[in-house]
Amino acid sequence: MIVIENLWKIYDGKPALKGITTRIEPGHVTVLLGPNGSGKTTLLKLILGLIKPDKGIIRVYGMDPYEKPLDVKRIIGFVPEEDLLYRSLRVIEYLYFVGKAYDLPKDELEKSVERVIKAFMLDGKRDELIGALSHGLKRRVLLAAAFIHRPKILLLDEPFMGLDPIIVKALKTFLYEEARSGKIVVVTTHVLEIAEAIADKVILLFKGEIVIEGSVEYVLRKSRSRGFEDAILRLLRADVEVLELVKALRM
Amino acid sequence: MYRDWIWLSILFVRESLYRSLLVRRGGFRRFLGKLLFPSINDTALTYNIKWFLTGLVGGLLMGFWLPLIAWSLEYLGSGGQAIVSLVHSYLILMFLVSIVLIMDFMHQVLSTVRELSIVEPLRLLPIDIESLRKALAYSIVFGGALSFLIGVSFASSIIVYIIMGIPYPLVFVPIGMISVFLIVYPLVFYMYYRAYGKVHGIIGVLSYVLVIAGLMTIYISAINITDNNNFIYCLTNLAPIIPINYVLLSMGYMGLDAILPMVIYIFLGITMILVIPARIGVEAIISETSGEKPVLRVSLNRAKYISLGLKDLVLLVRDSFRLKQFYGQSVTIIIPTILLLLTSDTIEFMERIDIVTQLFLLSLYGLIAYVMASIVSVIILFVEGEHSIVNYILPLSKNDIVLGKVIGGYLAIQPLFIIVFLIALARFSLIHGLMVLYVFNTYWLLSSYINVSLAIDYLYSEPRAWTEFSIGALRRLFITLISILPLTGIITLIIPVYLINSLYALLLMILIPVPVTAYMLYKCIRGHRYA
Repeated sequence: MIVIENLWKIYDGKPALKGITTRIEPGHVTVLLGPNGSGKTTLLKLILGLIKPDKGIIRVYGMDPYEKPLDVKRIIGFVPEEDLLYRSLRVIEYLYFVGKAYDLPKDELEKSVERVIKAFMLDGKRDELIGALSHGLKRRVLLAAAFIHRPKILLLDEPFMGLDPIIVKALKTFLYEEARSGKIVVVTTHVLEIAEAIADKVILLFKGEIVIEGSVEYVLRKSRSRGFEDAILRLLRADVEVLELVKALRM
Repeated sequence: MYRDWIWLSILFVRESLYRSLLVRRGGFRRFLGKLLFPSINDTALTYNIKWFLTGLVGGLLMGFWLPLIAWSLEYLGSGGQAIVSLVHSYLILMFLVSIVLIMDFMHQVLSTVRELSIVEPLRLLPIDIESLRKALAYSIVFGGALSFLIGVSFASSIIVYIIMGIPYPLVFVPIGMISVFLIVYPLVFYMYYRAYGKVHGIIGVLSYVLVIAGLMTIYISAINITDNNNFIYCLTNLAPIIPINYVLLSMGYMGLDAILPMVIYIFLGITMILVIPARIGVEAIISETSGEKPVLRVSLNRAKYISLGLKDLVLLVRDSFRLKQFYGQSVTIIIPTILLLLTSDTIEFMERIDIVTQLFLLSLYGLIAYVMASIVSVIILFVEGEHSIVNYILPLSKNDIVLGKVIGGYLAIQPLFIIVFLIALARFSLIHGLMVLYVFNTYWLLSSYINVSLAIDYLYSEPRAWTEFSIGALRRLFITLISILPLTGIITLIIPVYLINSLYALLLMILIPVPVTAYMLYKCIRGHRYA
C-alpha cells in the first residue's frame, strides 16, 4: 500500500503539491488525472524517491522512498513520460542492463527478457539500436523494461502515448490483470476514454490539490454528469475555459 | 536571410546549461557557487567570463612549475640558454595542448548538444538551415572554448613574462592562441564534413588518435634529441610554421619569417572561421545515427558490475566524440612514457642498475597512470547525457554507478596499456613488461575510483542531465587537484623509503593500490556469486 499524508512539494517557491493525503491500495488500477502542471508526475517522482518532499509523509509498503530509495525502486516498475533511453544501446542490451540493475540472476534474466520481448512484440527489433526506433517502439521498450522484474508496484506516466491500438488494448487488459493479482497499478493519462475504461479509482489533481478521488461512478455522481469527460471538465471548472479556448482558436 | 544565428547559438549553450544544472537556492555557499561555477542564470557573457577565469587558473596551475625549474637552473648556474630552451619547449607544449583542447572542446560541446537533442525541435521551426548550421558551429565559440583558451594563453604569457622579463609573450601568446583556434577549429570541422558517411566512426577515432600521437612524438623527439643551441636554431628554421612563429615572436624573435606568417595566419583564420563552419553540414556531424552498424557486440547478461561496466564501455565506444576525448587525452599523456621506453639512453641506463631498482623505476609509471586517470576517467560519466535519468529510476546506488563507470573506463583504456606492456616486453623482459602492466592497471583503478567518486557527488543529488556543464571546468580542475593529493602523499613516502632501501620502495609501490584493486575484484566476484 502507498500512504500519502499532507504531502507538499515546492519548486522554486511555487508549490507543485499542496498537502495531499490519499491511499493507493493494491488490487486496483488507480488513474491520476489532471491538467498539465497539476502535480501528477511530481507525485510519481515522490513515490519513486527521485525527489524529496518538502513536508508530509509518504510510505511505500511502510518504507520512506527518499530514505530507502533502492528498496523502494526494487519493487517498482516505472515508465517515465519521456523516452529517456540510451540511444546507442541495442534493445536487448538495454533490457539486460535493466535486469542486472534489479539483480536478476542470469537464467531468470534470460527468461524475463524473452518474456517481455514477446509481450511487447519487440522480437524483430531486439538487435536494433534504440536511437533508430520509432517513438511508439521506444515506448514499448520502456514498458518492457518496467515489467522485466515482475514489480509489485507499477507507476506508469502516460504509458499509452504513441502506442498502436493493439498494444493499447493488450496493455489495458494486462494492467487490469496485474491489479487483480494484488499489485498496485498507478497510471497517469490525459486520454479520458482510457482512464474511464481502466480506472478502479480516479484521483483528480488540480494545481497540486486533490479535487476528487473515488471510482468512475462516484466521480460521475458527484459531478452530476452523464459522461466522464464532462464530469472531469466540470470538476475542474474547465467547461467554460474550453468554450473560450475554442473561440480563441477560431480567431 | 535569418540573421539570428548568434541568438540561436547562445540558446544552445543556455539550454545545455539549464538541462545540466539544478536550480540553486539561497545561502552564501550557493552564492559563492554561482560566482565560480556555471549557473542556470548565467548569460553567455558571464558564462564566458567564468570560462576565461577557469582557463587562467588552470593555465597558472599547469605552468607554476616552470618558474621553479628556471630559478633552480639559475641557482645551479645552468641558466641562460637552458632556461631559454625550457621556455621555448613550454610554449610549444602549450600550443600543442591548446590544439588538443580545441578538438576536445569541439567533441564536448557537439556531444552535449547531440545528447540533449537540442537541435531536433528547432528543425521543425521555419528557421533556415544556414542559420542553424552557423548557430551550431559557433555554439562552440560561445560555449566557452575561445574564452577558456584566451584564459590559458594569458596564464602562459604571465608565466613566461615572470621568467624572461620581456613584454612580448603578453601580446604574442594570446594572439597565437586565438590564431591557432581560428585555423584549427574550422579545419577540424571541414575534416569531419569530408569524412562523414565515408569513414567509420572507429576509423575516425583511430585517425584522431594517430594525429595526436604524431604531434606529441614530434614534439618530444625534438626536445630530446637536440641540445639547447641546436634546438633554438632548429626552431628559427621552422619560423613560418604555426605555432612555431608565435613561440619565436613571444620570445622576442622579430624576423620577417615569423611576422609575415602571423599576418597571413590571422587573415586566413578569420576567413576560415567565417566561411567554413557556416557553409558545411554541421547537422550531419551531430545527427543521431549515421546508419553505422553498432560497434562492439557484447552480452550484458554477466555479473552485475561487469554488466554495468560493459554498458558504459559500449556507450563510450559507440559515441565517437566521447571516445576521441577519452583516447585523445590519454594519448597526450602516455606518449612521452612510451617514447622514454624507446630511447637508447634508457636501455643503457637500465643495464647499469640492478633488477630491483629497474623494477622500482618502472613501477613509477603507476604515477603516470594515476595522473592520466585523474584527467581522463571522468569522461565516461558524460556518456550518460540526458539519459542519466535511467540511473535514478533503477535501483542503482551511487557506488553501483561508480563501480560500473570505473570498470567501463578500465576496459576502455586496456588497448593503450597493452601497447605499453608490449613495448616494455620487447625492450626489456617479461618481468619488466608485467611490472609496467601491473602498475598501469592498478594505479589507474585507484585514481579512477577516487575521481569518479568525487565527480559523481556533484551529479547525483537530483535527476538532471550529466554533461560537462553539470560539473563545470573549474570544479573539474578542483576534483583533479584533490585527487592528486594522495599522489603527493605517495611520492613523499616513496622517495625516502627508496633512499633507505629500493626493495622496500618497490614493495610499497606494488602494495599501495592493492586495497582498491582487491575491492574491485571482490565486487566483480561477488556479483558472480549472486547472478
